[in-house]
Amino acid sequence: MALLSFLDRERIIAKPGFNRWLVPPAALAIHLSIGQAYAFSVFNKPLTKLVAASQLAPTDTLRALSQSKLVDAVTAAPADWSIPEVTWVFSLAIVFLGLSAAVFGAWLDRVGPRKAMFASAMCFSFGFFLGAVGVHLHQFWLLLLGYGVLGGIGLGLGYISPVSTLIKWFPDKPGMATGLAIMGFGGGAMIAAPLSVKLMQYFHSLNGGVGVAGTFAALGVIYLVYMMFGVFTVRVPAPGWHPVGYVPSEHQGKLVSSYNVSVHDAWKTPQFWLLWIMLLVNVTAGIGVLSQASPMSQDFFPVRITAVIAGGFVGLLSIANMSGRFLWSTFSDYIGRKATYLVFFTLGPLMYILVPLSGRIRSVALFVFCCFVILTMYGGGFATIPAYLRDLFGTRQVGAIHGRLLTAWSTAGVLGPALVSYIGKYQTDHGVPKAHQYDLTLYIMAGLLLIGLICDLLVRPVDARYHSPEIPDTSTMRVFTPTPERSRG
Amino acid sequence: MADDVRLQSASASSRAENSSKVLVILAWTFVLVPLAWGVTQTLIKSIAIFR
Repeated sequence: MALLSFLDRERIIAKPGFNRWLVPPAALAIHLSIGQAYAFSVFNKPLTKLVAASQLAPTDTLRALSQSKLVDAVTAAPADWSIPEVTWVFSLAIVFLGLSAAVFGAWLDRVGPRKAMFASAMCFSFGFFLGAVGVHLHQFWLLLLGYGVLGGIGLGLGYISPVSTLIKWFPDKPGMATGLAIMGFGGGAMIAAPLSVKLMQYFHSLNGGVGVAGTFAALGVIYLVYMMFGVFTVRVPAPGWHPVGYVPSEHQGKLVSSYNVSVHDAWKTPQFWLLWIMLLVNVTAGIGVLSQASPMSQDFFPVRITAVIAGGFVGLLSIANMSGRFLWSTFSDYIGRKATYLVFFTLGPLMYILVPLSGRIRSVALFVFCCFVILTMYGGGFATIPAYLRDLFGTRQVGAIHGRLLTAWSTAGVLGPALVSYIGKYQTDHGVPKAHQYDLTLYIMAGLLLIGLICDLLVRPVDARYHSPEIPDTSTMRVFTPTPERSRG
Repeated sequence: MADDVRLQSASASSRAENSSKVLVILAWTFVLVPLAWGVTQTLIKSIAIFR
C-alpha cells in the first residue's frame, strides 16, 4: 500500500517551525463535517414522502412549488417509510459512533491521526453515497447500511481522531484545544441544516421529487473535500516536543498524572467508570431538555411561543451547545477538570429545578436563560472529558481511552429518549396537565446530575500499580527538559 | 562573512514565520466562514423569541 504511505504517522511528524495553530482548524474541519449528524432530522419528513412524491407527474407547476411545500402537500403512499423507521437511521449512526470509537481507538493511537481522519472521511462520505443509492432505489436496508453503519463508523473515527493529537500539541491548554475541535461537532449541524434544505430545494427544482438522493450525493462530495483539508493539514509533534517555555502550572494539582496508563489498564480503574457515569448522566440530562425543548416551550408559553418560534429556540440551544464546548473546556484549564464538573453537577440541578418554575411564573427570559445554561454544560461535558482523561491517564493512549468512554454517549443516546418518553407517557396516563408534564422529567434529570456530583467527588489519582513506568508522559512532567527541536507556541 | 550568514538565516526564518502565519489565517478562515454562516442562519431564526 505504498500509494497510501502519505497517511503514515512517520510522514506527518511536524518539521521544526511548524505552527501548532494549524492543527485546530484541521480538527475543526473533521468535526464540523461529522457534526452534520445532529441535523439529520431535516431529512426525516422528506424521507417519508419519497414514493408519494415520485408518483406525481413532473409538471412545471409542481417544480415551481418549494420542496418543503411539496413535502407538506403530498400524503405518504402506503409503500413509504414511516417516521419511527426513519429515526432508526440516526439512532444506528450514534450506536456505531460509540462502537467504532471504542473498537478503533487503540488502532488510531498506533497509526496516527491522518490515517484515521482519512478512514473517517471515506466512511462518512461513502455512507452518504450508499444512502443516496438507498434513497434512489427506495431500499431501506441500503440507507441503514450507508448512513447508519458506514456513516456511523465515520462519525466515531472522526470524533476521536484529532483529540489525542491536539492534547499533545497543547499540553499547556488541553481543555481549550479539545474544546475547539469538539465545538465543531456542535456547530456542524448549524451549517448542515440550512445547507441541506437549500440542496433539497435545488435538486427538487432540477429533477422533481423531494431531492433527498441528490442532496445525499452532494453532501458526500462536499464533506469528502472538506475533510480532506483536515487530513492533509494535520501533523503530530516530534517526540519530546513541547511549546517554548512550557512549564506545567501548579493549579493542575495532584490529579494530573505524570505517567501513562494503557487502555487495557484504564478499563480496570474506578476512575474510568466514574467518568463513564459522569458522561452518561450529563448526556442523559441534556437530552432530557434537548428532546423536549420545542414542545415544552410551546406548552409553558402557549400564546407567546408558536411552533416557528420554538424552532428558532431549538436553534438557539444549538448555539449554547456549541459555545459551551469551547468555553467550559477552556475554563477547565484554569480551574481544573474536577472543579469544572463540580460546577456542572451543582449549577445543573439548580437550573433544572428553575425550568418548571419559569413556566409557572410565565418568565420566558428565565426559561431561555436556564435552558441555555443547561445546554452549555451539556456541550461542556463532552468537550472537557478528553482533558480529564488526559489528566488521569496521561497522553499516550488517551485517544483509545476516550473512544471507550464514548460508549457512555451511545448508552445515553438510547437511555435518554426512552426515559423521557416513558416518564411523559406515565404523566399523560395519570392525567397531569400539559404544562406540568415536564416537571417530573426535569426533577429526575436533576437527581441524575447529583449522582454525577458524587462520582466527581470520588475521583482520585490513578493508583500507581496501573501506571506504565517505562514510558513517562513528557507532556505533563514537572521537570522542564529542554530539547533542540521546538516550535512556536 | 559570519554576519552575512546570520542575516540570511534570520531573513529565511522570518519569511518562514510569515508564510506560516498566512497559512494559519487561511486555515482558520476556511473553517470559520462556514461556521459563521451557519451561526448567522440559526440566529436569524431564533431572534423571534426575544421579540
